[in-house]
Amino acid sequence: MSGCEGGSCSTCSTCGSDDPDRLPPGMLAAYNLNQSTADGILVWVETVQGPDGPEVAAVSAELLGAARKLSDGRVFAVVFGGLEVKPLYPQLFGYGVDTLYHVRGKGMETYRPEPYADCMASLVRRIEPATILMGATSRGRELAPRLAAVLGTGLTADCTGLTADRRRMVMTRPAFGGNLTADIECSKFPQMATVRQGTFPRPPVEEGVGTAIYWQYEPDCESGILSDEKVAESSEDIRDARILISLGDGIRDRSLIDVAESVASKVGGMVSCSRSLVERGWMPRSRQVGMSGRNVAPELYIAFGISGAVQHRTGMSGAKRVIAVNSDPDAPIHGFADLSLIADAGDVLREMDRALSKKG
Amino acid sequence: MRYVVAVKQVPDTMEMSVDENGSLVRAGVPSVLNPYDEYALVKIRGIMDDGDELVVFTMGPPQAEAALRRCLQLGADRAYLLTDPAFAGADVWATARVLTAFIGKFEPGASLYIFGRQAIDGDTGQVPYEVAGLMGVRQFAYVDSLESDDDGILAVQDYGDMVRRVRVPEGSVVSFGSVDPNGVFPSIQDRLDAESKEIVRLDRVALGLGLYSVGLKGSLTRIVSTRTVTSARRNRKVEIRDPAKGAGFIIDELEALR
Amino acid sequence: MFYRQRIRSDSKYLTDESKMTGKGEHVIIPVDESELREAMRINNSKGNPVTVSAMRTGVCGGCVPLEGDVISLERMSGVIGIGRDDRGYFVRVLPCTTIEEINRVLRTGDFSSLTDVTEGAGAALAAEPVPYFYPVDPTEMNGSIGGNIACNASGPRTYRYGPTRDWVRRLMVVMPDGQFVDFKRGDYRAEGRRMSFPAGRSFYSFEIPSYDFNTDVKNAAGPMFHSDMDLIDMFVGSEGIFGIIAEADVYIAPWHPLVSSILYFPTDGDCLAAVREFRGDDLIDPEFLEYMDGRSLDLVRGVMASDPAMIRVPRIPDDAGSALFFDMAVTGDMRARFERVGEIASRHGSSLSESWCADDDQGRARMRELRHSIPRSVFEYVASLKGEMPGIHKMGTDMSVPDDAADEMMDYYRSELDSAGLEYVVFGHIGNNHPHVEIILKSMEDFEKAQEVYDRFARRAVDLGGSPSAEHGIGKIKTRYMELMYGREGVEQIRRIKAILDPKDILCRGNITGGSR
Repeated sequence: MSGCEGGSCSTCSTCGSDDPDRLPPGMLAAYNLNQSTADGILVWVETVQGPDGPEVAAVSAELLGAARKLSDGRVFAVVFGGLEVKPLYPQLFGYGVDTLYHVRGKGMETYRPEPYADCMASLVRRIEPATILMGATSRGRELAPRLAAVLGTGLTADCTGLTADRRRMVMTRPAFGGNLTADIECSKFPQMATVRQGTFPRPPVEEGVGTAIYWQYEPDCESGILSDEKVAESSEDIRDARILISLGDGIRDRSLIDVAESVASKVGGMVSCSRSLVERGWMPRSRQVGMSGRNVAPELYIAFGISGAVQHRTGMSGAKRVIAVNSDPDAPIHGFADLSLIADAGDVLREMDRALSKKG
Repeated sequence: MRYVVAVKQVPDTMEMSVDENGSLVRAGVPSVLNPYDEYALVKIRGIMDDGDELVVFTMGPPQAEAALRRCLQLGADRAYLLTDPAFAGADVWATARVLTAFIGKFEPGASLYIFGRQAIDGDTGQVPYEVAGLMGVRQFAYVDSLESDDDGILAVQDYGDMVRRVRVPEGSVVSFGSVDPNGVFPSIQDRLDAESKEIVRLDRVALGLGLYSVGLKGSLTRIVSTRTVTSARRNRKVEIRDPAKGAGFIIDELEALR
Repeated sequence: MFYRQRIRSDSKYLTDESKMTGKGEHVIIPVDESELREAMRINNSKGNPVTVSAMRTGVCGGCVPLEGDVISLERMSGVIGIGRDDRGYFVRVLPCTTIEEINRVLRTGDFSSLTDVTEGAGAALAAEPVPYFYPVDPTEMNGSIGGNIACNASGPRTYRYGPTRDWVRRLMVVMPDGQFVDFKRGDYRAEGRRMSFPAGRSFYSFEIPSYDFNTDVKNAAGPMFHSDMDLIDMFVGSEGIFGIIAEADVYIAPWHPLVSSILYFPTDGDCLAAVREFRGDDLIDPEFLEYMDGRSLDLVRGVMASDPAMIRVPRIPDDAGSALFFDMAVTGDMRARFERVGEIASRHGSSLSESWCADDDQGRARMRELRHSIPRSVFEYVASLKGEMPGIHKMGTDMSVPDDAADEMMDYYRSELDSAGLEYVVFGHIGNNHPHVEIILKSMEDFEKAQEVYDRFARRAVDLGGSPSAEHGIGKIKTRYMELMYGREGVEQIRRIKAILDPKDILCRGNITGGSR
């Protein structure tokens, strides 16, 4: 096209002007020019070690169920591991996976963010998904940003909701600066998000068929790993608890944690906490509710001595019923509880323990 | 050895209050050095030998100089402030672009690039890994401790369900997983020593970045709307003097659940 | 009409921070000065004793009733006005306003809702380039200004700013019969030793006691008397026995940036030796000097893990054997001043590296938290031993002496306590030669020994020209030291004034003089 100074005319589309303002009105929409053909959702299936071999992590199952509902297109899944992963196929297809990529290769069985991200990037280039989802787990939170950087795309972390408008995803996450939630869009494909466990219901396993593809990948660097030691984490997860006895800054005496544990065991609940107790070293991080901890959705959440900072409220917002016990009548937690008791948290906790002991 | 630490200035969330609408009141809240970054700085200080160099940098408004000043008091040798009005509104990607551009242009070839786990003002802790991805170097998350021996540096990573001991190659990104709630104080000597240390200011042009690579314009995610979360809870407030009575209330609720 | 309610035996109105408990019939809670006057008029006509109470943060039982009613001023609270005179800005406050609240209002910088006591004062103060604050820091920031005035409270900043007395501009005092006198400093002065003033329809005139109040040291032992004295000074420190403070004007001071430091020393002796040099040094010019001995540091180390207030305080260095905490105003020559600190430190086994330093508000607050945790730690230590030793208790001193007697007093504390075989910690306002010695009593026997030792300390403090009650006041617990300081005759003279101002002896019985007999 001699004489055409790309982008300056609006008579033809040969030089590929990408400025929609210079195209005739409606043309872009009519011809769907400059649109990515990306479609479908890719979910990273994280596995956890169970007693009889690997299991699908709860959050990954939830995401597969959600992906099936959110996408008109295909649902892709990628799982890493050796032969021991094979028994999981029926379950994954049962969640609605159309195509499962099973990555195998020397050095790819153990989780490492760099080769995992590089491998997923090669997959993404092949299948061109519109969306990539991962659980906001400790691994997901470091793998997702690495992959986003490699792909050069946007990432919304720690989502608590996803809705789809055809291929376009709207990601919802709590926004700092108030009890606001922000709806966020990614301006490029693939769109990426990490999603909190408990955001979607765990789907039922149905009859399903799909294609499994072995994907060979060899990492290009030494792992340097000297040892991986499993930590015996208590099998109970505060995200599964029906009743949570949650302790906060107002708990001034360490022995109250034992009292709370005793109460929890009597009522069939678990003890959780706010950030300050983790920072004091009184409770493990796995018990922390809130933005930097876990999102919980119990039937009953009893907050003892928790002031109710926004970060904490985000984590407890899924609770069906909330009781707040705090001696400060102005503590914000009272505004977010069904029942507020203005009383000393420690005293009430001790009394509960005593009363429940009597009942036997 | 040269260590480069990325830090952030954050509002002191411990000092924050909530207004009648439940929104955080940020006005008048003092700014502090993000405690996770302070922890990383102190940790790395602990493994340094004589002659090693510690460099800190931050992206932020001009006031973020105070956070760097504190880093200098806590043992950093030099500091950079990446500040430009165009940096405002950056998402993880745009932030990582600026940090990576800085590292490539001004502090390449360091022994380690160090980050804190997350910022306490609601940041989700993604930046270190995007930087590592952009730089194409190894990344080590949730690091609990670092030690150096004859063969180099060893890290212990705590993934929650797994503890990994791993060798850390030169030039990697390391993110510490914890925080010391007690914090530290510089000594009077540290304060005097820091007076003569330098803070270099760099803007977008100095980093060689285009207007559309940084800040809001360079971000790949966009907030399209925000909603107020309305609490649907029917609040009943009971002021109770007698803890036994309060315990009774709660036990009644528990019974109702059964 | 005013609120009046029977007092239950477990009522908070029967005790204060001294944990002394008293007896009372009713609590009266007036909402303003007219209700207060009415309550006084009625009680006076019946001859019914009343004890005044506000935030109940005192440690000498001043607000604890022995009989009759309690008047709680809790609803008479708030900063109501701003004014300015030749000396500077002042705030007009109701008696139960806490020191914290005064400073909070001043920090907001918005005085539009307050009355201008002098024209344009609020706007002028808001336009000042620096914020203002009430400079007397009685450590307990939740105490009421009325209570602070009534016992002439002081604290660490007294080193620079003096006690409460120096900051009182005006008082409105309700007399026992319900009449009142509203006056400024300078309105009524004694002629020689005769004081005269009107209050409503009454006119009072009497001889003031013949002793001179010791102002050379920090002193909160009763009201101040001297020739040609101001009437203000008789009410400041009178602990409610002459009248009830219903409103006050107190001066405020411009705030300036401060830097806080804690310097660690290997031993108690090193620290005290350094204090001597600090005190005489015009270049360093500290705002206050607070001492923490090795035993205090050990106690704090012990509670650190469990005390939530200490959550943001770093661990104390393991080799620190004592510590000196001080603030300095930020000036242009900080380097020279710090270097002088370093010179002194190096002469006494320390150095500038063995210190903590903070310019920011949060850091400075954390250092204060460390200092304030000592009395709490003592309390917790005592509580922790309660299981094995049910009779365990503690006793704290509050004595100040002149500069030249500081070492002698310190040696005396140590030798007496050591020879009595008692456990103790020493900390506090060393700049004013006013450390607190907390004696830990493990048995009844210890208690008797400590009583004796304590009385000897009080006597020695008075002999050395000091005060047995430097900042806490006398209340009902320390009345025996009044005689020690002023003799039987001095106390009798105070009683004579009381008989003139409060003929039915209804007001705050038991405070200062221990009653009418």
